Amino acid sequence: MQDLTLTVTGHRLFGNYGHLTLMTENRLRFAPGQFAMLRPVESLDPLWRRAMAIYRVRTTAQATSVEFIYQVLGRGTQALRRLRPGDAVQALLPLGCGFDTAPVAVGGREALLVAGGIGAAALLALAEQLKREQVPTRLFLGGRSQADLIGLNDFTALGISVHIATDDGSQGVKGLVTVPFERFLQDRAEETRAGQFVVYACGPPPMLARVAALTAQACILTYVSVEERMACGFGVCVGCVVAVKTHDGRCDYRRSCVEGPVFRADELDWR
Amino acid sequence: MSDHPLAVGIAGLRFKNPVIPASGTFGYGLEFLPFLDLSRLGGFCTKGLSPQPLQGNPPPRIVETPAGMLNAIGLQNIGVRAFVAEKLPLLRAYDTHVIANVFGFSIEDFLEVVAALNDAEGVAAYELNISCPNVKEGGTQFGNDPALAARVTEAVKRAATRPVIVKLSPNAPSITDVARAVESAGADAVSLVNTFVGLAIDVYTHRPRLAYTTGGLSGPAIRPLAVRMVYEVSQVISIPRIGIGGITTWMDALEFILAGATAVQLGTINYTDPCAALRVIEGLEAYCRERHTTVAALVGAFKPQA
Ligand SMILES: Cc1cc2nc3c(=O)[nH]c(=O)nc-3n(C[C@H](O)[C@H](O)[C@H](O)COP(=O)(O)OP(=O)(O)OC[C@H]3O[C@@H](n4cnc5c(N)ncnc54)[C@H](O)[C@@H]3O)c2cc1C
Ligand SMILES: Cc1cc2nc3c(=O)[nH]c(=O)nc-3n(C[C@H](O)[C@H](O)[C@H](O)COP(=O)(O)O)c2cc1C
Ligand code: FES
Repeated sequence: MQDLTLTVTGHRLFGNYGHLTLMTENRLRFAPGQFAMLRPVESLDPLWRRAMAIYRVRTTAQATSVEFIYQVLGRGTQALRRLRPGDAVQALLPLGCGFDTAPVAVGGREALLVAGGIGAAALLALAEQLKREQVPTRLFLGGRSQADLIGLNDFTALGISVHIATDDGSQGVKGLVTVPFERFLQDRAEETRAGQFVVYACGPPPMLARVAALTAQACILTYVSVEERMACGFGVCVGCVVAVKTHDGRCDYRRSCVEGPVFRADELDWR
Repeated sequence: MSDHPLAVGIAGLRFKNPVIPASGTFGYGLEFLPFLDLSRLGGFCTKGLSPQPLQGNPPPRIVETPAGMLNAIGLQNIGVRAFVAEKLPLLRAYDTHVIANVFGFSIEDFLEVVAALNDAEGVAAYELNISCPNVKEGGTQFGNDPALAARVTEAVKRAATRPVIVKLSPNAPSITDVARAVESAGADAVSLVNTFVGLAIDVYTHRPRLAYTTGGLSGPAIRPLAVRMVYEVSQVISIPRIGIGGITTWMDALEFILAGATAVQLGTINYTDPCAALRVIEGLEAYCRERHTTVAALVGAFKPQA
């Protein structure tokens, strides 16, 4: 974990989103699913940095570029939107525990990625890593409309199969992303039972809850990346906790910025 | 004690500078090692320590507000014994004052925590949190009532082998009455302020934005309120004051010092800028150098009239 001042080298705005590229001369090692806490340099308005999933990292001998995709919602992302190439961004990174690919990299298993909306930003780096590890990978990608299918081109470029759902039916199945996902599990009931699949999901809480319910029923090992409100991102405010089940059946709290943001779905208390 | 322009004395302790990260915003100190050398700090306050580990409140526990935040953490902490066994030995490597922030639901709890700390090497002082707004008992009920505040202070003072700083609540009907009461009860210093009780409502669900409903407001939004309270308290007690509330820069810190604080604590800013304390120290150094002055000479130098 380092607190670095990075330089904006690319910033593409599309629809209600921004694709931000930052550059540093430092070398960075990171795991898919890790995140950064960002703020424009010198800015204390809004007061908190914003947590952003590391979309992609590219390293050359001289420099590292780190990419993020964000949805413009409130004051933090509006401040990000104003960044221009050459501007400086204060970035605390890499943070948290990312996705564990070890369970899927054995026995010819297949990885099923489920992404809702901006949640897709947390899954591209995972898809890249799975490709490097030669793990068969399939993506279920949902968005409000065609314009909200985050990262679609980048995922497709990796050569993985993509199942699309949009709320308005402008592309793929009309409905929530869990619809094609559920149908897939039913069609592949035999492989599901044989433990062929490992699921990785990121998206809005209701989507994650639905994915967790479906995969719990089918006994599929599932990892979810949660997005809680974060003030610090490095474990000191204890504000970002999620409830987990303890072995004696009670519940306890874990900091999602340090012990997460990726958790096994069956460890979380979904009530 | 002004051998160095930034050095100050509080309750017989020499602080190399007046900059102290605040309780609940600096973990157990060790979390900040990737960012700064703890030996640069005048001292730091640990997360509130209770006799037993506490689980804290259900989420959501925090929400950002204009120039600040509300929190209702509910004092989740590892408990005083785990602090002594696991954290304190690692902290001894650093030349800084470790101030243990003490919390309890009853006077007995406060005494139990202090007893567990008394024998431990490497703690410089105790800060009594009688002002946490986010637990149903204990906390503010002591801090809002001068008589109760005096009783906790007196009991702890009798048991403590180290200086006792009492952390005051800005939610008390009269913070100056509580300050006077704890001074009479033997407090070595006071720190102020803890967070202001606030409420944020989600207009779409009509529900509170925190699971606990209310939370404590901190950050730049509270600074002028806190500076005013430090000023008022400084008029009525003679034990040292430690100023807290929304400090982000050396200038903010200096406002508190001018208002009558001997030292300052930095809270919420540590989340946004983990190196904030160093910037404040450097800023104060530059100011003292340029003006040929010392922090000790600036304490209470505020001139309300021309
Ligand atoms: C580990 C982690 C990774 C993240 N990765 C990304 C990422 O890659 N890309 C990304 O865009 N975001 C990501 N987020 C979310 C991001 O940190 C911010 O919370 C989000 O961008 C909102 O910030 P804001 O400043 O726009 O809105 P705020 O100023 O925080 O909120 C403004 C208003 O918008 C509302 N609002 C906030 N969030 C939402 C929401 N999700 N849906 C509807 N209304 C909302 C609030 O209720 C508020 O009324 C991540 C969060 C975490 C914890
Ligand atoms: C998330 C959070 C947790 C806190 N926990 C404690 C605590 O355990 N004990 C305590 O005395 N004060 C606690 N505080 C209060 C701070 O120490 C400080 O008094 C307050 O935040 C005002 O300072 P600031 O505006 O610089 O943040 C906490 C504050 C925050 C924001
Ligand atoms: S965001 Fe502060 S502890 Fe997780």
